[in-house]
Amino acid sequence: MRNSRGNMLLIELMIVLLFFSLAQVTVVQVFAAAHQQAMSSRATHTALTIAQDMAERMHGANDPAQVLMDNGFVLADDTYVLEKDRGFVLQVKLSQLSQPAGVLRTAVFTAVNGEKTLFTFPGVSYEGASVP
Amino acid sequence: MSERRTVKTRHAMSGFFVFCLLGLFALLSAVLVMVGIRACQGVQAAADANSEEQIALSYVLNKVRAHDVTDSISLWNTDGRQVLCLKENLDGEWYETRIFCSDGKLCEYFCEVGEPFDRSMGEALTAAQALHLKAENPKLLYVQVTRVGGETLAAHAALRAGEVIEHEK
Repeated sequence: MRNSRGNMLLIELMIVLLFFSLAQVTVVQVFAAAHQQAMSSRATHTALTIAQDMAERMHGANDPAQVLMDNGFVLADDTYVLEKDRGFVLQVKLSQLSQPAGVLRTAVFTAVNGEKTLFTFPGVSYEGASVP
Repeated sequence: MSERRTVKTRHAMSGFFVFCLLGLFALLSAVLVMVGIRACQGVQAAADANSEEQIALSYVLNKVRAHDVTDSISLWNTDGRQVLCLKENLDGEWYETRIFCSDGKLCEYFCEVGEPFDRSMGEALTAAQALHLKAENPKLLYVQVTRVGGETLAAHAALRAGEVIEHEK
């Protein structure tokens, strides 16, 4: 009788320990996810700051491609790529549409982290042709 | 008699084992809570630093963009320190907003054009060690803010309508 009661207590304790252990595993996963989220948010923020700064520098520049090259971008398959050890890769695709009235330049900024695209935004500038 | 003693010892061992198990569990739980608190504080601190470090720079850049009109943006050099001066016309009167760093703070002072400059008159906006401004060309302003910890943040503002004028005062 006494022995059976002792075993029951042990089983009860083991169930409680199992339950709390599972709860702790969940909590650890939540903390890990929060940390990952914070890192991803910081990478997105840094990439956005760099992209905005580059867009400002390229605005009004005669040669936007040169501005990108001067700031560490490397040309690969028609796309300018900036790889830094900050958890993201910044890509810039340049295109321009020339018309008699002027030139419309578009730079599409894309930040990627592995397979995931963090953001994409276009920067457009227009340079009017000088009227004779 | 001896058998009874053996059973008692076995019970005592079993109780001790359960006690050890619970003690270990309590210890690991406490460690987990401490790790959790530290992780939470780290995430919170990173988020705070992320937003706070941008405040001064974003503020200056937004002010520049808001005053991007002809003859509105100028840079002064007074006592070896720089002041960003943004001029605007309100009801026919000319006023200017002076942005500068003083005593570890980014300050702003709104006054009439021509009023003598006094570094102590500004209203403190946020913490910043130094403000460095440079006109890379008349249409491109470089803004660098040094935080109190020595970390620097920089960005460019391309002016659409106005141009940067540099003065020595």
